[in-house]
Parts: sequence; structure tokens; C-alpha cells
Amino acid sequence: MKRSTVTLLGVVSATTLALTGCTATGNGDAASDSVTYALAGDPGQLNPIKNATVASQNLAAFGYESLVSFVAGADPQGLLAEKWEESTTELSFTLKNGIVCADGSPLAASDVKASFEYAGRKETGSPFRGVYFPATGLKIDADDASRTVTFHSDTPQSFLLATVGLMPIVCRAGSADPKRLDAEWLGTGPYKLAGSSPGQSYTLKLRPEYAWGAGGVTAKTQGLPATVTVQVVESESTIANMLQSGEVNLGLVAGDDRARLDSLGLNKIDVPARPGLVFFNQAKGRATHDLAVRQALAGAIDRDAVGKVSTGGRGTPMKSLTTSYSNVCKATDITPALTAFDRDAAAAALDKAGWVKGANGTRAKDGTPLSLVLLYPANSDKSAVSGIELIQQQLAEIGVKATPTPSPSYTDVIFQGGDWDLLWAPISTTLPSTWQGILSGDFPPKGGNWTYNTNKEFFDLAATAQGHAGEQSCGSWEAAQRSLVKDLEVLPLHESTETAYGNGVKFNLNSNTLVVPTSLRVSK
Amino acid sequence: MTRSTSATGRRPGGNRWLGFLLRRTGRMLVAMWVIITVAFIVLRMAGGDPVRSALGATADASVVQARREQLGLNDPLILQYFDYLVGLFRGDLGASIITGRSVTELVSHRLPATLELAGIAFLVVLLVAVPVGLAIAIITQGNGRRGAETVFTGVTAFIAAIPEYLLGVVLVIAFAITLHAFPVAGRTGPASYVLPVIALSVSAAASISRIARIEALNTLKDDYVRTARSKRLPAWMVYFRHALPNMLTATLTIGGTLLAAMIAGSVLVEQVFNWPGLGMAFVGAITTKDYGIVQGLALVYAAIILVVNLLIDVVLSLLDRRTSLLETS
Repeated sequence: MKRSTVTLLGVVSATTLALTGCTATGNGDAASDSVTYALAGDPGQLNPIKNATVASQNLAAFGYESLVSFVAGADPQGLLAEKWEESTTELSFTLKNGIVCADGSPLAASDVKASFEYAGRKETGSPFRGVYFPATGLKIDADDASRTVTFHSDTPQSFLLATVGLMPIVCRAGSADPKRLDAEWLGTGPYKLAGSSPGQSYTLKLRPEYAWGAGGVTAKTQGLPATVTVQVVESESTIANMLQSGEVNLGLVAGDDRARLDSLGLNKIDVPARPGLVFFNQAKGRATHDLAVRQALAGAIDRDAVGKVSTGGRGTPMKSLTTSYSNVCKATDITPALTAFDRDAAAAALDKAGWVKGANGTRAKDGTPLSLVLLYPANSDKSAVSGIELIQQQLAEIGVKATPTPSPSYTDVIFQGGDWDLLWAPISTTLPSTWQGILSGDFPPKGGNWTYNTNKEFFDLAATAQGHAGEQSCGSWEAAQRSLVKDLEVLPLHESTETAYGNGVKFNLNSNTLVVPTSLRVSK
Repeated sequence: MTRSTSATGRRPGGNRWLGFLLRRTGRMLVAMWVIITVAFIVLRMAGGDPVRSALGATADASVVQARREQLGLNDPLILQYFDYLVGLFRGDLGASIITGRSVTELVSHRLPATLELAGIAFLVVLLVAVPVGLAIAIITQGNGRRGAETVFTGVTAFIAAIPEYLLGVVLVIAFAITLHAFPVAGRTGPASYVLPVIALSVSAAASISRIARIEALNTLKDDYVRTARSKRLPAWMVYFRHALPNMLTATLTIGGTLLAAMIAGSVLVEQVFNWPGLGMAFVGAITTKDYGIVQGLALVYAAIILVVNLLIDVVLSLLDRRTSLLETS
């Protein structure tokens, strides 16, 4: 219901503009030192430790900081930390001098430790636990005199810095009395929460004492807005309308609404949105249990054609299973391991595997037709659905019947071992190590290994990779990803994009595609 | 529908009113309990793991388990139901399973926006539709001016058929994006109310004006109106003092159900205008499968509609004291 309304609005308004030849330009620079930022979702509860939704993280970034900052495409920069040392089991940060919390108290190394300990307690229920820091086997030492915090992990990990370093830090007043975090901001960020109408708008004021920004940004930096109004605008077409009229200065837009915004000369950055990934169900009894069948299916899919359609022509071929904004292993290239598009070879391979064409054009083996359930999330955008339908057509060309099946909650189907053969799922990841968790373990419904992956080569390569820290692990991770693609646990296609627009404001994004508050510059 | 001929009906006794209110309140509570229980059962029958849906495929199984534990989703169903009911009695409507936002807080911030929108639109509908209906009835009474009648019924039928959200989209394009006369969306100043109220009230006003006209025509044919005329009362007095109050009963009854429908219609209008009301939250929660919010808001919507219906019955009993509502319901 929501989607159809939204789409309709976009299409109709775009047409009207074309017909009237309207060439409106932005007029959002009227208020010189204030910026209105549209968020597409309700950020929910304010406590940044307990809320990991995109909207919440976007808002919280103005009030809370992490130890390091990963601006997209750049090397990690110190945020709260001025320097750090990294290994697979140990990570040591030295804090910058003179960091002051929103309540006026200085931030000590032991406060950072207390923040992590609060987040790590089971009863806190932090969604970051086990994701940004190990759920168990983590020991933290802090020394206030030398301003150092050291993390020791029992199990070696490749990307301790890229996870622990991103965890938002709450000040002592917050970790000691978490209830306060529901109503106020107790962090070190450049902005303080001056007023809020929960779920609707939030007024943020620049803290005059802020002096520890990444890259030397302080409250005195020219163009850094004195006031930021974060407004929740749940319809994307409305965000586009408001960007166009200048009521909003900053917002993220996907889909066709971008066509009319692109002509307005706004500041814009394309950010990766949803990766096009097709997974194969390798459970016993499934036709896709057989590698030859998976290879034939992959060879019958024209990845370029499908990728262009599924991203509305705004995507790029995936070179890694992680997003192109990932801050680690940027050199990864899995393309050499991809199955080449060759329809004749694919058909021949199916013949060889015993799946032969019957009278009705569909292949069958021992009387069982090669008929597959192609599962996809029901909330996929219409470009993605077109891409899925193109896959259906291309598989039909070699006599495979794939039935696109939308599911309102595909996670329930796959984690309960439900009925699916192929799955289109935009599972977005920033670290290659995340795939180790997704594609291993016990089979459903007991465990989360829902592709029924038994690729030992991948398990071994991933284990080796976890023994190296940071960039030194990338070679092994690349080999592990290539193994997944070669064995066809997953077939990567194109990654779709969304576009962040600034009307009267310049900005930058971090590796999680969150707006970096200290990157905002009001342009006159 | 019965009509009273004068304003001097006997005032019902106090205990009749008390009985009426007790009966209706009791029935309302039972209806609420049924809705709460059905919403609770249906959401759980839908199956699946809302926590897994919320956290996505990348979340570790142990994280999902911990969250389920925290939300009490691993408890036996009957215990969850009991906890939920106890929470309701404490005024706790539950919380979002995704963002942790408390539904009570959500409602307290968003309900006013929805009630404002629906309330203003309802007033606009009555203020436009009743006079228009009466005026057209006066013009077309006694089979006069068939042309005007045809035009009126044709036009109102057309307008009544326009969906609120479609009108909303057209209004945004015309008056907000092209003419810059009103804001595109949001609830900011008085100007921001104009387009959503128009979008919500136009088609309702068209259908109510049709009903108002028929009611007025019937009233104008009644004996007491003829009597009033034969007493040579001025025309305005005949229409406003005698005809208007009597055509209101039926119009209000329809209007009451309409108000409930408008609160439902506001769900879509809120989407178009990004109106920070309950509807936005409700639709958002359904698309993200936020059971905590869906459950709480279903209850709130049901309560609003039941209360509106009760109020309409009370108003009707006050307006028309011969009505049998007090005895039978």
C-alpha cells in the first residue's frame, strides 16, 4: 500500500515537471548556518548502545563518537583515539587529550572501558554485542594516566579495529545510569540534543567546546552548521520533493525520484545500497545439491543484463561479496572465479548431469521436473523484481522452470529450512569475515547454515584468514570469497545504489553510509 | 429514524443515563478485550521470528536468541499473553521490537496529529456538506430545477469516488511543487494543514452533502415545516430553526461512521503528506513487521473507533430524546 502510493507520487510528479518544463533550482541556503536533514525512518529509542537501526545510527552519529572513523574510500582516521596498534587478538588505543562529554565531564580511558562493559552485558541487549565486539572472551584494560585502552580477544580475528573501533562510546554518566540515555545525549559528539519531538524531529546544536574532530575539525571550522534539524520523513518521494523545494537540505533517495533531482545541480554522492546476490540451497534432495546443476544455472544467467535491470542501470558489477564502501580489503576481486555466461555449455552440462528436456520443454531426471522455487523478499523494489523475472526467463531458455516466489519474511523460510532452491537476498556486509558466520555452522532449523554449505575449502581459508590482522588477512579472505563463488554457494551480480543529495550543503559519508557530522559545510 | 417535532421532550431520568453508560462501557470493554486477544493471537499465528526479521540474515544466532530472551518471546504463549494484559492495565502498550520505542510514547506524540487532522476534516465536512445539502434541497424541492439536481448528484457522485490519497498526490503537485503555495509535507504551520485537510474532507463532504440534501428534502415535506410556513415565519427561520436540527440526526449518524472511516482514511493521507500521525507509524510498523507496535496501535485505533461510536450515540440521544437508544442499547 505504502509502496504503490509512493511510486505513484514519484512518477506523476516527474511527469508533471517534464510537461511544464519546470527548472526549479534549490533555494535551501536561506538560513546560512542551519541544515535540515531528512531521515527515512524513526530513530526509535535514543540509547545508541541498544539501537542499531540505520536511522538511529545516523542520528546518534551527531552526539556519539567511536574510537576511529572510517570515511568512505579513506584510511581509518582517529576520532576519540589519536593512535592505535592492532593484532588479531589485541587492540590498543591511546585517546586524544582534552575530550569533553556533553555533561561537561572529561572522557577518561576507563570511561571507554565502562562503555564497552555496559554494552557487553547480556541484560543490556545491545545488537552490537557479538557484531562490533566479541560477545565472550573479551578483556579490556584501561589506564587513565596514559589514556590507553587495550582490548584482548581470546579468539583471533582479522578485523578487530574495523569493528571495535566503530562502536559508539557513551560517557560515564550514561554507562553508570543507562536510564539517562533514553532521554538525553551523553556522548562526545560535535552536537548536543537541544530539543526533540520523538519520532518526528530533533534539534541539534553545535557544542562550542568541540575541538577533537577527525582531520582537525573543531566548532570553529568555517561552514560547520550551528544548528542541524533532523526531521523524520518516512516517504522517499516526499524527501525528494522537500529536497527539490529546499525544505530539506540533506537526504538519501533511491529509485526513480533521482531522475528529477539529478538535473538540479545538487551536491550528491552515490552510495551502495543492496547487493544482488543469488544463493543456492544445497540441502540433500534439492537439485541444486549437485554442483554441476549449480554451475549450469549460474552459466545460464547473463549477469550483466540481469544486473543492469535489477539496479535500474545505476549499479556496478560486484567485485566482492562485501559492499563497495567497505573499509577493509578494498583490492578484493572475485571476478576470476565467476562462472562464465555460456548458455550452450550450461544446457550441455544439464544433459550430462541427467536432466534432459521432455516434451513440454522442461528438463527432468527420473521423472522429476527441474522446477525451482526462486525465493525473494516481498519488499524488493521494482527494479529488483524485474531482474528476478529476467533470471526466470534466462533459466527457461535452458529448460529450467524457476518460479519467482515473494516472501514477506524470507529469513523465516531459510532459517527454518523451508521450501526454496534459489534465493535472491540483498544481504549487505562490510567485512568479508561476516560471511564465515552466515555460511557455516549447523544446518537449519538447529543452526544458521541455511545454504547447507559444506565447502571445506572455504572453511579452511576463512580459519586461516582469521589468524591474520587487518590488511594482512585480505589475501586469504579473497581466496575464501572466490571459493564461495566457484563452488556456487552464492552468485554475485550487481550492487544497486542510493544517492545522498545536499541542497546548499556539502557532506561526506562513512563506510557504513552514515553522514559524517563534521563533514557538513553550509555553502552560501 | 424518528424525529421530534419540538424541543420540549421529557428529560430522561438520571438512572436511565447511568444504565445506558454502564451498558455501553461494559460492551466496549468486552469488544476491546476481544480485539486485544485476536490481535495477539493472529500476530503469533502468522509464525516466523520477528527478531530474526528485524536483525536480518547477518545476525549471529546467539544474538537473536539473546534478543528473544529479552523480549520474552521464548516464554510460553499464555505467559506472554498474561504479561501483555498486565502491561496494558499498567498503561504500558508494549514497545517496538526493532527500535525499542515505547508504544505509549509513540501514541502520546502522534495521536494528537491524527486526531487534529481527522477532527478538522470532520468539521470542514459538516460545515460544507450540511449547508450545501440544505441549499440544494431548497433549490430543488418540489421537483423544481431538475437540471440543478442532475448536476449536483452527478458532480458529488464523481467527487465522492475520488480516493483521498490520489487527491492528495494531485494537490501536492499542483499547489506545493508547482505553485509553491503550501508546504509539500509535514506538520509545521497552519498552512501545512490546508492540503491534507482538503484531501481528507473533499470526497466525504460530497457524500455527506448528498445525504444532507435527501434528509432536508424529507424534512421540508413534513407537516411541522408546512405549519411553520403557514404561520408566515421568515424563510431563514423555517430552514434554520425548524428544518436544520431535524435533518441533523440522520446526517450525524452517517457522519459518525464517517469520522471512524476518516481516521482510517487518514492512514493513507498521512503517507502522502508525511503527517506525523499514528497512520504513518502503523503502516511503517506493518511493513517492517514490528509486532510490538502493530499490536499496540491496533488497540488504539479500535479504542478510537469504539469511543467515537459511543459519543455519536450519546449525542444522538441528546439531540433526539424520543430515540429508543437509551432503552435498548
